[in-house]
Formats: sequence, structure tokens, C-alpha cells
Amino acid sequence: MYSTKTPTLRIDEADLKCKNGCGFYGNAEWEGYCSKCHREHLQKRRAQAERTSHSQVSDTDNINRSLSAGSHKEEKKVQQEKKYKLLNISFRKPTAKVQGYQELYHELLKDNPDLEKIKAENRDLLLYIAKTPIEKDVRKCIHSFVVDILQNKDIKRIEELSEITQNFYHVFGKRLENSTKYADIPSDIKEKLLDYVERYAMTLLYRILFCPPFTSDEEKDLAIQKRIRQLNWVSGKNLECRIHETSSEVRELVYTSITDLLNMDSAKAPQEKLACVIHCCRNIFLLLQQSVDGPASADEFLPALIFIVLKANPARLKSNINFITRFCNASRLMTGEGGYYFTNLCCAVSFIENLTAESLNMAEKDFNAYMSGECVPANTWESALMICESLHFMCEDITLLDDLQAKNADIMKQAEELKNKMIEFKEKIKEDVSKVIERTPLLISHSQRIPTNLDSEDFESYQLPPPIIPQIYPHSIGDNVNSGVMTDLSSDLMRTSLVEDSVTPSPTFDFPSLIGDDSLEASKGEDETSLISLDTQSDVALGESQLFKKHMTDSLIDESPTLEANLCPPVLKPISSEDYHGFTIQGSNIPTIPCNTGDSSTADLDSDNYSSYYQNM
Amino acid sequence: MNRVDLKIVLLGNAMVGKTSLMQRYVHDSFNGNRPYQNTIGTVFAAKQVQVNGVSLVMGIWDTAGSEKYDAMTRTYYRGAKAAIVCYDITKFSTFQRAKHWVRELRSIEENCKVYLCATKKDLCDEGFVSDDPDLQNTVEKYARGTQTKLFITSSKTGENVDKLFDEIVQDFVSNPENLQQVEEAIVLSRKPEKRYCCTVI
Ligand SMILES: Nc1nc2c(ncn2[C@@H]2O[C@H](COP(=O)(O)OP(=O)(O)O)[C@@H](O)[C@H]2O)c(=O)[nH]1
Ligand SMILES: [Mg+2]
Repeated sequence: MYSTKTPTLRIDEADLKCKNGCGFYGNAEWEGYCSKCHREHLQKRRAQAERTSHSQVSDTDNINRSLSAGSHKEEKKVQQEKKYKLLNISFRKPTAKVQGYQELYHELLKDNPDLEKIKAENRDLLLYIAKTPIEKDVRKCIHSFVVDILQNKDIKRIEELSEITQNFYHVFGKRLENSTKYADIPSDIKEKLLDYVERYAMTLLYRILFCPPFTSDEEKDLAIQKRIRQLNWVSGKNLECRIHETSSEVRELVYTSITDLLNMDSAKAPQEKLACVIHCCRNIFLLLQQSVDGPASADEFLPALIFIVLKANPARLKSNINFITRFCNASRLMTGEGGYYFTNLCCAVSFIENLTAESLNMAEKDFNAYMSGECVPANTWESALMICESLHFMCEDITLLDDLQAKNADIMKQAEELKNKMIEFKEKIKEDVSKVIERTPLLISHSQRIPTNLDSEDFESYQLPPPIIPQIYPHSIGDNVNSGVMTDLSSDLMRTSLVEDSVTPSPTFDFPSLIGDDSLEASKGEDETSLISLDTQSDVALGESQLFKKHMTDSLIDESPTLEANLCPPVLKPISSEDYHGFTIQGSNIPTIPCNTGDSSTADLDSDNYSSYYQNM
Repeated sequence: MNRVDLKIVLLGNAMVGKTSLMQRYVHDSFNGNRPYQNTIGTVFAAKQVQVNGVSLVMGIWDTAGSEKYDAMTRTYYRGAKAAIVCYDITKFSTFQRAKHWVRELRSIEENCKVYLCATKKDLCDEGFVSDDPDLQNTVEKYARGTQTKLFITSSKTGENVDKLFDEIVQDFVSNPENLQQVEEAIVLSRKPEKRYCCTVI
């Protein structure tokens, strides 16, 4: 079929060849390289760029992520979007946490009903390989792959994760064929093993690899969902697809294929998702067969699929498509039936994304009118299908609400538990305390004695003349000799009353007002000038507020004796001084004493002096 | 036995005979007498052949040919190793469209070999005249100029159909790059194997 004649349409071959001179054809789009050389060229360039700005990349990446998260919050209006955020909170949180991969591995393995289901479905296969080196090897392979992904999930891009996965499938496939371990098993078991490994690993890693937060999958999901909703008026006629909607059988098949497509989102493993697409497409072929007489061709199939996608508006469509593209065994996508249907689904989605008035064979004006919602489709069945979508959303919302309700109930239960625990704790503490009290009753009586002890330290102070004594003195001013006897007598008489006083603080000491009063500080300066003042209140005010604080922290019982002691000096001083000059002379000394009392240390000193004095006495 | 996937896409206007070509090759049947024909549409077929100790799994993809879907056709031939661009020997307009696909494939899917395929040769033989009498000449010139292999087939009689697919398989197998993948994969399988041991012990 080749001719030696010089062709008339010939283009200079040199222009077509790869710039690298590898002999293959080049292309302007690939900067004059052939595809292989171009890829290498790109890789080289990318590697260079990555080396130079590795740290920057991660930084900007983070910013981008937070930015996209921020912009998300803005589009709150649409109910659907809210729902997605709710959903995402539930499955993104764990990945965001910084966790050792082992912990995460366990978390993924634990209570995973999907994994149990896969094991149950493959029971025959697992029994076949049970307790053989094969079982161990398969487990080892899966484990090392899962660990590989978990370790790289935060470092590598999704494309690289996909590469790791595809490489794993490939390597495992080759291992099945070349390793001596697998030499004895028939090829159909090998096929099943390969399928099982993919199914198991992907179900396990589903939460990590499906719609990962570091990709734009979610935004794309929302975009296509919005787009499809906008296009809900598109009819089968617009798409030139021949669906005989008058036949109830055909309608039934339309519903079934819509359901099949919707099921894709709830399937986990890529081949399960693919199976949903296959079911959907087979049903489309069945309904086309009813509509077109004889087997349908690709030219009839694609419009029908577009119609179904438009009417179904599947949840997380882009995420699902990307998940399959990235993590489904590439060979299945390349030559399998599922791959064919899946490619058609991709085509349908890309048609929907790029759809114009022209592609629907309608006038621009009409198209815009429909898009803006001015016009609504007249066909009742099509309208009914729109309700179908709404019903589907309602179903999703209901499940979401159920989920939330369950979570809420859980929280309530935990709160109740916490409350009970708190009550229990309270009771326990109470019990413990009362036990301790029971066990050590002496300590309590001891502590009752403490004020007495404190007082006994100042015991001598009871021997001091009580403050009333000055009232007594005036009567015996001239009678110096009697005064000592008088004091002793009166102190004996007063002791009982003083003990009572020390237990209940004297009502005249209004501490709160003293402490709370800010004017104390302000009046300090003024007080210094009025040193002569005999007013106890101002004398006390002279003292540093610390003193009062100290008093407050101590028990009030301590209060009165100390103050008592402070008040005492003016009275006692005459006696303490060896050269006693009589009260009149002593009286002139009185004003200086309140000055000293202001300082707690001097007050202590004073009281020491007094005690020593009394000892001397 | 090494398994290699070979994806082949069929391109061409509607009604040029893509489906018939596929049916002839895969099920050796035409139109009415389709014993293997399942009730479901025939847009995809898989066929396994053994060549040079390699098990070749062919996935043959029929595509929607309408111009409306031109923008998405790329999705169809992504990863394809061979493309059969069909035109109806009796309709000049289908050849015009065929040229468009050849051009696009050349520019986008570098690793995809392109085969031009004229269909319905039996009609020609029966004396049915094409709407452009010079069509055959034009096509031959074009095929030479773009170094595209041309096959004139009839799905009705089966003429040249097997020849076309055999050629595709031979071309595929004779390109070492296509089989290189297999060897690469074996090398790759060694490295992780060692790692598995490391992780376990
Ligand atoms: N005489 C004849 N008719 C053919 C041949 N191939 C296809 N046809 C007819 O052309 C029509 C379209 O064929 P089909 O394979 O459905 O085309 P497609 O749309 O490209 O898939 C059918 O009526 C076939 O019977 C052929 O080689 N010879
Ligand atoms: Mg067809």
C-alpha cells in the first residue's frame, strides 16, 4: 500500500521530527519534541523547579489550602454546599490531625464494615489461600503498600500517590505471574487475587484518597453539580437522544440507570464504582434497544448517557471520576468494558461542562432563557425527572440528618455520662472527706485548740490590763502603789471576758470597711501629720495595708489579741519603764506609740518586749 | 505469559460501518446473521490473541462520531495504541471527517498509530459509484503523504478486515517500546520485593 512516488501532500519530514533527534515525530504543542522526549524534558524542568523552591512550594501550598478553605466559607448560600461542608467536617478531621501512620492505620482498620464485607464476599478465595505462604505474602504486600501511601499522603501530590498505586498493581500482577510462591495456583485465582488486593487496599484507604483536602476535587464537584442543576431543563430531544419515554418499560429503565449511577458515590473500591457505571450503561443499552429497534451504537449511546447524567446529577461526580482515574487498575480502564463505559461517562461530563446553545441545536436566545430560568420545560415527564433529583437530595439530607441525630444522641449520652461521673466524683470526695474526718477526730479537736494555743502564746497578754483599765486608772492616778495590785486583780477578773472577746471579734472592728476603703492610702499623708492623734482608727490606718491583709488571712480570732496587744502599750508602758514617772509624764509619751504600732514588725517586737517584761515581772 | 493491553479506537462518521467492522473482526458476523450478538449494544469488544509469547488483550472501542462530540473525542483515544479511522468508500464527506481525525491523532496522541480504513468495498465491487469518482485517488495520495497505512475493507464479505487487525497487532508487537514496559515492570518488581522483606523483619 506504500508508494514510492513522491507524494504531493508531502510535508518536510525534518519539520515533523522530534527536536531531540530520537526519530519520532515532534509536535509544536510539545515544544517540538515527541511525546516521550517532551515528558522527559518536562520532568527535568519540574525537578529543577522543585529543587530550587521546595520550601516555598509547601508554604504556598498551605496558603492556597487555607485560602480555598476561606473562600469556601463564603459560598454558604446554597444548601447543598452547606451539606458538603458538614460531610467534609466528618471525614476530613481525622486526616488533618497529625498522627503517626501506625495509629492511622489502626484507625482505618478498626470497625470498618466495608472491609468486613469484602472479606465476606471473597471468603472462598481467602479460604483457598488460607494458611499458605500466599496468604502471608498477600498480606505483606498490602501492608507495605498501605504504609507507603500513609507515609506519603501529606508529602506527595495526588498524582504521585496515584503513581505509587498503579505501580503497586503492576508489581503485584507481575509477582503473581513470576514469583514461585504463586506458581501453583490457577490463573483465575490469580485474577481474583489481583482484584481482591485492589479492592481491599482501596477500601481501606478510601478515606485518605477519596476527595483529598489538598486537591480541588470538591470545588469541581460543586461546580458540576451547579451546572447540571442549571441544565435541568435539557430534554432528550435537545440532546437528540432517542428515548421512547411513552413506554413505561423504558421509563422504568431510565429510573434504574439513574439509581445505578447514583450508587456510584456510595461504593468504595474503584471496581465497585466502575461496576455501578457498567450497570447504568447496560441499562441504557437496554432502554435504547427498546427505543431504537436493534442494538444501539455509540452515537446513540453517548447522548442517552448524557441525558441520564443530567437527570441523575450524581453526588460528588468529579471526585468519583478522579478517584477511579487515579486509583483503578489502569489495565482495567484500558481494555475492560468498565473502562469503556467510564470513558463515555467522562465524555458525557465534559460535554455537559462545555455545552452551548449550538451543541443542543437551539437558538442562543432560547438557550439563555432556559438557563436563566425564564423558560421552563413543557414536558411533564422531564419535569417529573427534575423532582426525581430533588427527591434524591431529600434522601441524602435525610441520611445526613439521621447521621447528625445519631451524633447528637451520642453527645447527649456522653454528656449524661459525664454528669453522672461528676456526681459520682462529688459523692466520692464527700465520702473520702467524711472518712478522713472519722478516722482522725483528734485532729479536729486539735485544730479546735489551735486558737487557744495561739492565745496561750500570748497568754501573758491576758494578764495585761484590758483596754478598760485606763478607765480604772484615772481613779488611782496618784495612788501608784496600788496600781500593780489593781491591774492583777482586774486582769484576773477580765480574763474570762477577754477569752470570750478573742473568740468573737469585737464588733467595733469593722475590717471590711477598712480594707475596702481606698481613702486609706490617700489619707496616709494626712495621718502622718496627725501623729498625736489618739484615735485608734487613724492609728491603725497608719499601718501598712499589709498588716490588715495579714489579719484577714489569719483567723479573726487572732485578730483581737494582736490588736489588743497593739492597744495595750499606751496603758502598759508606764509599768514597763523602770524609772516610772507617773502617769502624767507617761501620758505625754503616749502619742509616739501609735506610730510604732503601724509597723507589724515593731508591733511584734513590742509584744516580745512586753512578754519579756512580764517574764521579768 | 506476559499480559499486555492494546487499546484500539474506531473513529469515523456515524453509519460509515465502524460497528460492522468490529463485529466482523470479533464475532466474524455481519448485520442480520449475528449469532454471537448479545442483546446489548456493540460498542466495545475485547479480544485476546497470542503473539510472540505475549498475551495481547485487545480492547476495541467504538466511538460517537458526531461533530457535536468532537471536543470529547480526545478522552476516547487517550492511551490508545492504535486508531482505525473509517470512511465510507461511497461518501466523500466521510473522508473529509477522516482527515480531521488523522490530523488530531497525530498532534495529540503521539503513541497512537493511525490506520485509514475504507469501508463497504463490496458496494464498490458491485458497481456502486461513489459521489466523488476521484475519491480513491485522493485518499491514496493523502495516505502516502501522511505515511498512513490504508486498508480497503468490507465488513459484509470480511475482505481485508483480519488483515487490518493483524497489521495493527504486528506493528504493536514489533515496536520494542510497547513490550519494554513489561521488562521495566519486572525490574520494578524486584526493588519493592526487597523492601517488603525489610519492612517485615
Ligand atoms: N454493504 C455494506 N454495508 C455495510 C458495510 N459495513 C457497514 N454497512 C452498513 O452500514 C450501516 C451502518 O453500519 P454501522 O456499522 O452501524 O456504522 P457505524 O455507525 O459507523 O457503527 C449498516 O446498515 C451496515 O449494514 C459493508 O462493509 N458493506
Ligand atoms: Mg456504531
